[in-house]
This record gives sequence, structure tokens and C-alpha cells, in this order.
Amino acid sequence: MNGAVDPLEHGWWLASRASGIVALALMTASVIVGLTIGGRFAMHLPKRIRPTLRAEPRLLTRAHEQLAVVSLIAIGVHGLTLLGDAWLRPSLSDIAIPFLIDYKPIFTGLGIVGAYIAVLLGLSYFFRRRIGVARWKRVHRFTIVGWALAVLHTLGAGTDATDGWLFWPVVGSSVLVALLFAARMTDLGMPSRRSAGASQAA
Amino acid sequence: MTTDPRAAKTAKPINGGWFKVAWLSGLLFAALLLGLAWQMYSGNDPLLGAGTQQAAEPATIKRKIVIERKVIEQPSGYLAEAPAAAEQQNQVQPPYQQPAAPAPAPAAPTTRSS
Repeated sequence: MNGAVDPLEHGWWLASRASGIVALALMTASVIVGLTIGGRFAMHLPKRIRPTLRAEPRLLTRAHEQLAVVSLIAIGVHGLTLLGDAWLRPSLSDIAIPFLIDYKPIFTGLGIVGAYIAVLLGLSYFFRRRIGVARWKRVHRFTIVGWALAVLHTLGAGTDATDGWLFWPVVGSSVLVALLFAARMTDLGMPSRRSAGASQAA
Repeated sequence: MTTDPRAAKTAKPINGGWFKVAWLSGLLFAALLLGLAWQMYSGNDPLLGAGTQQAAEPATIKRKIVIERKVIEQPSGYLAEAPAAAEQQNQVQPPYQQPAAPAPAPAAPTTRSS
């Protein structure tokens, strides 16, 4: 081994880092698709190219759902694999209770809170009829808070956050989400019913 | 099992989509895991750095400090009293370093009598 660090000794930690990055990527993609659906930004595209871009509302909704559920699985893997790390040695309460762990407690705690928000609001989709669709939609908008906390967690506590290969994609996608969110809040992407109807007819 | 082509058209992207997202996520996870492992193995891990590799390698000389010998002129009688000390000072020098000036010879009995 020439005295080099043996990655197998840090396998759990590496798995946790990799799954954390996957979780953030999926979560970001899900939020982007969700904002696109909510803001009806795909309505601006000509109808004939929407299937090519998979920008049909039905397909976007499915993609949003799939990305969100797989991101929740990745979040679970991210936390559970960290339990095996021999250096950090976190207990179950360290990864389940925010701000308890010794390693960068603020940023790690923000990640745990973000994970809870993502899990609760994400899974609430399956109970939306029981909650009431209108109420569920209002609550579901706060999922972006969970995503924002996940970004802060990545940049503040992520081992690879200082590396450009992770830092710039995170910053770039965050800018995109911020723009989409601003457009969603100001209804920039929302076409009027008349123009939406004209677009459908085109 | 239905033979309606419209039903097949609606069912395909939904099931295929699940498979695709899960498969691509697994692929991304594997790629990241291998990449991070390789980064660690090659000594570029952001936290561990070179790890034990750094300790195992011999230390490299980054800066060489040459200490020049400083010759202090003393009254001629000074070295005459302690020629052995001057000899010892010459021997302490590193072998690569040339003396800045030849050591003054022990002075002859001074004419400067009090």
C-alpha cells in the first residue's frame, strides 16, 4: 500500500459521503421539477416538443415523485452508513437528534432538521387526500426549506464541499432553484388561463 | 393483461421511470464511491490528505539555511590566550561550508607591553 490511506478502512464514511451527494442531487432535481410543475413553466414550450423533453405535466409529476422518493432513500442511506464510521463513531441519537453530534453540530443539525422536513412533507404526498389536497399543497411548499437546509448542511459540514467539483454544481443548482422559486412566487411562469388554452391548442 | 395500446402507452413511462431513477441513482452512487475511494487512495482526500503516506515518506529538504561564520576581530592577544578554542570552532563547521576567512594565526608575543 506504500503507506497510503486504505479506502476500505473508511468504507462506511465514503458510502455516507457518496449517498449524501446523491441525496442532494436527487432532492435538487425533485425541487426543480416541482417548481417547474407549480409554476407551469413547461407551458411556455411548444406542445409538440414537450414529449421529447418529457415536459408533459403527467410525466413531470411522475418524475417529481420518483426523484423525491429515491432521494428519501438516499437520505436514509446517508445517515445509516455514517453509523458504521469508525472515526466519527456517532450513536443513533447523534444522527437522529439535531445538534447533538460533536462534529460541526450546527451544520449537521441543520441537515438532520432538513431531512425530517423532507421526509415528513415528502411522504405527506401519499396522505394528501386525507389531509385535504388544498391544505397539503400549502404545506408541501415548505419542502424547499428542507432542501435549503440540506444545501447549508452540505456546504457547512460536507467533507467535499470545498472541492470545486461539488461546490460549483451545488452553488449553480442553488441559483437555478432560487430563480425558479422567485419566478414561482411572483407567478412569472404562470400563464393566464387564456394563453394556457391557446398553448394547449397549438 | 390488457392489449389496449393506449393503456400500454400510459403504463410504460411510469414503471420505466421508477426503474430509471433508481438505476441512475445507484450508478451515480457507485461512481461517487469509486471516485472518492480513488481520491483517498491517491492521497487527495480533503480531510485525510495524504494520511499515513506523508509520514512514511522521507522528509524532503524545502529550505536550506546556511549559517555563515561571523569573524569578530579581537585584540591580537585574545586568540593567543585560547588557540584551542579557535581550533574547536573550525571543527564545528559543516563540511560543505568554507570558512569565510582564514583563522588568524596565533599572534606572536606582543610588542605592546603594558
